[in-house]
Amino acid sequence: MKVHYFGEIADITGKTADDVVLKNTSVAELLSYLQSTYKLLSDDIHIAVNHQIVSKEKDTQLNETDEIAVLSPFAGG
Amino acid sequence: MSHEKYIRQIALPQVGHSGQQKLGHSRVLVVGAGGLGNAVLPYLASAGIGSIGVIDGDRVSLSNLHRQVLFSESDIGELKAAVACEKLAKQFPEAMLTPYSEFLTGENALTLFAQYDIILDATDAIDIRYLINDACIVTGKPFVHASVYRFQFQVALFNANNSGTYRCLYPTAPKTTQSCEEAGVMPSTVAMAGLYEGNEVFKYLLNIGKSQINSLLLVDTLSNEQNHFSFERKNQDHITRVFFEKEYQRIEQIAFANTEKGGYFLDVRELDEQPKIALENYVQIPLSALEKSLELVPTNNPIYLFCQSGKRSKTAYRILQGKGYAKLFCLTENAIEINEITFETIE
Repeated sequence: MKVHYFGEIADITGKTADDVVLKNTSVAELLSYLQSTYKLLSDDIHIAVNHQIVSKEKDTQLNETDEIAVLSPFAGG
Repeated sequence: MSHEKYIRQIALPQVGHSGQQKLGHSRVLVVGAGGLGNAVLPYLASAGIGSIGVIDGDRVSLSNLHRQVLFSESDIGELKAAVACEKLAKQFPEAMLTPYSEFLTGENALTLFAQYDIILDATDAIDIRYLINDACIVTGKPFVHASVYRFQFQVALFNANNSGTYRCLYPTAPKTTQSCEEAGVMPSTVAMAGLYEGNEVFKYLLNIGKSQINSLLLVDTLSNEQNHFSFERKNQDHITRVFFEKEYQRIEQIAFANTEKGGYFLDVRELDEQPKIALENYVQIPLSALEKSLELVPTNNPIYLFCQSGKRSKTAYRILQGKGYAKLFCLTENAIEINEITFETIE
């Protein structure tokens, strides 16, 4: 599953994209992967599946072909 | 308004004379005269926006100049909003420019927003965006947002014709984010972000094209890639005036027993009200006379406000807060309780 990182998150992960393989392909599993791999806190990030931001409360199932984006608000201006 | 000046944009079928008139009658408030504000302001004025407000309490510094191109070295130390309006007024005399040399707060946001058609967020901190968002919901105003991180920026139009808001996209603020000062920024990146905001303002006011609503545009200026991320509109009925006041118009309260010795007790009741209070460091200035009697209010000591019921002391708190008094407290007790406490102490 292709996961893209934007803004500060790409600086934290050290890359703009990842190929991620999860046991159970769901948003909850992805959040826990991001936390354990990059210490990204679920509260500070937002997940888009195929360019649609999804609720982190609902455990949305993901497909291997889904394009995932991990976003956060920017502060600067 | 000289039509010839705007003839090249009037020539656009999407603008025309009627569109130009719309722009001339429009009022836009720009919150922040930093990188984004400096980029967008000249184009709002040059396109013939009739009235432009600029709110920023900050002053120009040397490290601003590379991206805040309305300012020059001789402006260092001057108020940004005032300098920006002065420069723009010379170049675009048709525009009515109003500087507000103060920071946007829960105290001034609602009154200010009510006077404008659209709010442009040109700030550089996340917290203030929740204030702008919530003030826009309460006053029913749309707002254009942009924010920058290094070579990337985000743009969206919120709360326009019942569209999603900043809270629909980002319900709560993250714990840590970096500003331009910490992360670094190229002037061209922040300028592009500012111009995207200007473009959203024009589209909204002219009712043309497709506004960036319910969807965030994220631009990477290194790769020139653009991504749109759509988000769901959530019910924002809880963002009411009462919520706003509770969230952004906090009043510091303190119990009489916890007051400091050097503090002043400011009684804002009328002079003939009972009971009379006997206290050290006691000043009585009726609320009705407070603004004209500020020289009687000490500036360096904590001020403990009270009245008969607690209502007037809160109004006095707002007045003094607006005048820059910092160590302000409303007492949880008022005249009758204070009289009892002091009476017991004397006994």
